Amino acid sequence: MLLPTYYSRIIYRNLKKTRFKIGVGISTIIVVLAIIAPLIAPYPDEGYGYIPADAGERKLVPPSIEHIFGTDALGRDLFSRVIIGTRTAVIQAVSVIFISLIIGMLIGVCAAYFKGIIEITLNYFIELFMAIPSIVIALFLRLTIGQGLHVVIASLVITWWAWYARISYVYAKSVVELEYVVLAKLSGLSALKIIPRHVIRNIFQALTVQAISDLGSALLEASAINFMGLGLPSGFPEWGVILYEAITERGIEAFLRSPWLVVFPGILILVTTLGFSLVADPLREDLDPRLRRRWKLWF
Amino acid sequence: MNSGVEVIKLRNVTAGYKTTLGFKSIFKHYQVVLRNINLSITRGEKVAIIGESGSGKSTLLKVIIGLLKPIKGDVLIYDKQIYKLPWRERVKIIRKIGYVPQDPYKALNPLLKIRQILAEPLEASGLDDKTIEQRVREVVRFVGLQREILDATPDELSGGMRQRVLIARALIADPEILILDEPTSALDVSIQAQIINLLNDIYNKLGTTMITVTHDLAVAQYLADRAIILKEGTIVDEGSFDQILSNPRSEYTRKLILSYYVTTFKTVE
Repeated sequence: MLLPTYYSRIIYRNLKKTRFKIGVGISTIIVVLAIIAPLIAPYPDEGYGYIPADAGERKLVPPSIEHIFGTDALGRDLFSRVIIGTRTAVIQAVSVIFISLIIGMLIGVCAAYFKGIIEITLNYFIELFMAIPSIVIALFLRLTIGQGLHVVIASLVITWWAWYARISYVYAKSVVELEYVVLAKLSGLSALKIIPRHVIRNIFQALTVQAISDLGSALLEASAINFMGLGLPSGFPEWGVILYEAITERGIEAFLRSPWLVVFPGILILVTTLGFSLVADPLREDLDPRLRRRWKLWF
Repeated sequence: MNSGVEVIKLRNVTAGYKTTLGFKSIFKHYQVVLRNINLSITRGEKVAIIGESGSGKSTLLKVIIGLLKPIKGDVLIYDKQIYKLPWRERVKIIRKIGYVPQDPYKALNPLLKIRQILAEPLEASGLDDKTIEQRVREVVRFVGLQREILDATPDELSGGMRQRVLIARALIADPEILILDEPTSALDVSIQAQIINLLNDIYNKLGTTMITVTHDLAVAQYLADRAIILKEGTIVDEGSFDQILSNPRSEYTRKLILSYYVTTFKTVE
């Protein structure tokens, strides 16, 4: 079965599942929102962190027709901030996963293919990076190179690539022992030709499914780093930052007196993560039937 | 067709696999599979290496095709000690060997078209696409397959067709030696007969040296003139089929022949 045929068949088969349909729906809405965010945000400037001149009068306005999600302590329209935050969320999750996948896949596949001392060294290297929590890396980067989107992405990629490397290693290890790889080696083909054609091509399906299912976790972890003030600077349209601002400025009152400050970005994080997971779950079941549920809920 | 020129020669070969993993593998511990193998195969010969599972047949093949460096001993292919050559040089010699692996279901990349699979051995030779395509078509016709299968993927083919594709792949680079690892064991009886006929056809038309590894004495008899009997990593018997059947030198060969007659007799019954 060729690769595009494989994907279209998987999508067609899973589209019969309600979970998958809901997941695809949510993810599509999030991605579309990320693209058109500045167009639909009522106050795009405030969304990007601009503090309005009449901030004093507009601060902490509860949800109303003018400000659907209310305003924050600096008088900015929360709806605009949250909607534009969608863009940051998607950029963060997708770039972390994409970069980690590419780096991890190359290193994992090399470890499996080149055996011997290369395999041993790379495996120890992978384990070393798996052991470091991304929050510690984020703290280190915050102190050394400051704040920014690149800091969030880098601190996550530094630990996440190792997971992809480990998964790629395990999958590739079973492929490199297969006879078509041996035959290709005996034909005199170089590793540069054999690895993409025989190894990466055969493990890529499993890796993409893993990557899709990790989008939600990447988003959660990125938001956590931002929530702790380690990643993006204050004022940046990002859900974690919005929560961080609410909690640092208002403390527990943010929950009691102005709950919209935490509820709306929280819901967005929840719904987006759920959307990604609902897409990934059926795909993972497809890959490994042992994960399939034997019981049925309403979906 | 036997010309007397030695194409493969093994001298006192002992081979096995490393038993430790990780950093410990630097201190070499081996599980020895082959012990003191001496073997000589001349050009144009049809040889069968026969033995039960675990007797070291596949290990012996790996040693011959350059994939497993023996612990000691010399492996000479066309009078060159292949394991003393760097991989690039070694591959140039190994490319004269066409290798048909054991399992037709695992030996074809499921994501490639048959055309790509067949063209692969010619890629490293630097031929242009037109010549490669022409050669692919020739070889497909030669092994009795339709041209339409070139655009199919392996999972669209039956076991027999896959085995033919593998044979075609082995033949495409005009090998001087053809090595077949259990060429019929994954196939049903009627397809087995077709593949045996095809292989004998290939031998008669091309005159390649043919080495068949099998556990099946009947298949070996059809595909070879000389038999090498392997047990627990050593050669226990060697000679022409007539010689082995009429005058087996080891107890194991005697049992093997007996079991062959018993099963054949039962089948006939």
